[in-house]
Amino acid sequence: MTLRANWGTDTGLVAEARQLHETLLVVNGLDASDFADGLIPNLRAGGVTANLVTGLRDGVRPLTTVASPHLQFLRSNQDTLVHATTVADIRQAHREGRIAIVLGWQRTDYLSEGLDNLLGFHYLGLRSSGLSYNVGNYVGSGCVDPEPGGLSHFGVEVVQELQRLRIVVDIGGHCSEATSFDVLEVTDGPVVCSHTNPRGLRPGNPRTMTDGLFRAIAGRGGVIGITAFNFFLVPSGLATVDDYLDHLDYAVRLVGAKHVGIGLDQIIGRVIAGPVDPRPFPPEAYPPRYEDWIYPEELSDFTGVPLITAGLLSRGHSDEAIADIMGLNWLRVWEEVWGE
Amino acid sequence: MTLSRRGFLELSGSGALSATLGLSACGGESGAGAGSDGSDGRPPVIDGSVPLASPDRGPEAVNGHLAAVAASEILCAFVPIATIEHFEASLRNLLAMHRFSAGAGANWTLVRRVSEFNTLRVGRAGVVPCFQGLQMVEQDIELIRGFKELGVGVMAITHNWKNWNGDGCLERTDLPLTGLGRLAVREMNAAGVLIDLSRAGQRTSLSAIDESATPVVFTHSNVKSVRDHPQNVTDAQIDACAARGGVIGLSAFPTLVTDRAQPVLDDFLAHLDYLLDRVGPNHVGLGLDFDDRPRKRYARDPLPDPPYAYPQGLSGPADLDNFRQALEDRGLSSSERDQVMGGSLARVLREAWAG
Repeated sequence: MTLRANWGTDTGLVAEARQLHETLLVVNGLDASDFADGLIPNLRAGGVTANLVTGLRDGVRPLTTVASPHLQFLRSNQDTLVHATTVADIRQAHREGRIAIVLGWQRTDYLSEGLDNLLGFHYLGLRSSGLSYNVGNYVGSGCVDPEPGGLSHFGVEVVQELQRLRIVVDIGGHCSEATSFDVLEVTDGPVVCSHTNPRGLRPGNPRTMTDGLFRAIAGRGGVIGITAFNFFLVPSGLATVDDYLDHLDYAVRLVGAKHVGIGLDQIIGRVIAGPVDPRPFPPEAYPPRYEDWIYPEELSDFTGVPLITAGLLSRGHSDEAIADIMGLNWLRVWEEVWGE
Repeated sequence: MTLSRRGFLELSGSGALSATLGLSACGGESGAGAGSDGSDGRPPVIDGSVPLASPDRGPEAVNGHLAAVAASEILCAFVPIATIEHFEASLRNLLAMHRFSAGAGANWTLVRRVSEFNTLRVGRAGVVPCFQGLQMVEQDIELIRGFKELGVGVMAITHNWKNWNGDGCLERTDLPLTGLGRLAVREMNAAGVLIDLSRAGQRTSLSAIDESATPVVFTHSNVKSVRDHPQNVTDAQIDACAARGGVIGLSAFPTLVTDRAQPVLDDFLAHLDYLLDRVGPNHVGLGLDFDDRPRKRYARDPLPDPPYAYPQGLSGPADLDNFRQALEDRGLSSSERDQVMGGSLARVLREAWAG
């Protein structure tokens, strides 16, 4: 494995962490990066085996054709990656030294032509879905809506159909707490929050999640993924890997190591600049310019992921807890929901 | 031809959609000029909800029903083009309506300006294409201008259920307009679209009334104090709508009239009397809503299954004389009767369309 140059001298704790990281099955619960050629080597460099990427959509629109560039990308990189739809696929990829890509959505706005289309998206590989993205839609309300509310009738149908098709229901984070708690009322079994940060460490940012919802998701056997988005980690200035570890630690103290994962939410390869649309991205939740949508330097791509393992080790987490947080928790929930 | 959503979006607001889609720009600047607003004569009788002439029924049904409408002296029909249909289906329906209007056997015309009311006469009705929801627009509110260019003169913010703009009257939640919903209202104002709140939730409708620069309508809703149904309007909605110059269109749809299995005309008139007493004829219109199709989407929706038992004495356009008589019996003046029969809706169309 290639670790980045600033990984440091190969002695003591660093050596131990490197050794441990190489034994892990590392899973990232949410990635918003481009489907581009650099992605696979970057994941490999960070020792990440499985990566859930937002795909199967055309920007913010539903797929207009099943000839999706995402599917084309997966198909044309079969030598290095696996388009995973089962946990068995992920384990096999790990054994073979390949990267497993899982496809998910961050919103259900892609079902405007009808709920029946969800079956088709499941066939295309959809295995996880958020509900609303920051602002309300026909399913429920979003985290930045001035007044949040519960699910709509269609929203109830959507989450129940997701469960029937054994697609992971992803709440919290982008969708409002009111909608999230409503989802818990009308679903069974584990649900997740693929990528958020604790409100307790980032008060005032509505995109983060309350302790109550952390506990509720964990109480259902789910997992909460922690993002490395700079502005969710710290209100100003540059966040560090230590800040990221603080967020992981907070979550672990709150709900235990069986219910926390990484959901780094990076945007590798996406060239965006200029002012953001304040309606879905108000300044209390997101930096108002895309130039400031950054990550701690070492976590701006996947090569720094081993530093998370090292940090957890240095903070005294057990090898078992580290293995869970770095990937096995996602696999446990995915296996339970997907059924294979 | 038709257009992809993306192509439509690119042309929306450019004024080039009609030409691109091969439509004649009906109701253009050279449209019927005499009088600006029908003021040279009485306003046309307007029915604010005529689903029996919706284009997905095919040209024979559309032409046939509009002939029956015109025979009853209803000269202007708001025809739903789409409710919860997505973009492609909505555009397809709208283009079909244009095609039918130009076809043999169409003794009716599309209306885009209030001044065109002068060209309508018994036997030749005018049609205002309407959206009874904004599902087709989704988050691309720029599409509103494009659909207005193609003749959609009235749009509802949502239809019974939740969308990106707000909540419907049958929803599990009752939230105000979303941020996007407020922008959609402004976009409809700017595009010259009359805003319809008939199937919107209570708080969504109140915030839309507040947000809109021009008067709004409830095209087909009755009085909740008379018949407790989620599609009927509360006193707060009635008062807010009227205070901003808006109009409530009375519906004959049975479950909105009464909870009795077979309504009679007097049940319908109870809603009329309530509104006349509370806000006066300048804020009352008709949205009779004669229909024969299922409306339920979810089993729990408080909507009956067809066939619908419309009120005895008001079971179709041909019964309209009974309603005219009731207005006379109530001692309304000729001009007040004209307001209820269509003048009030013509007024808000003129304000929303700016001509």
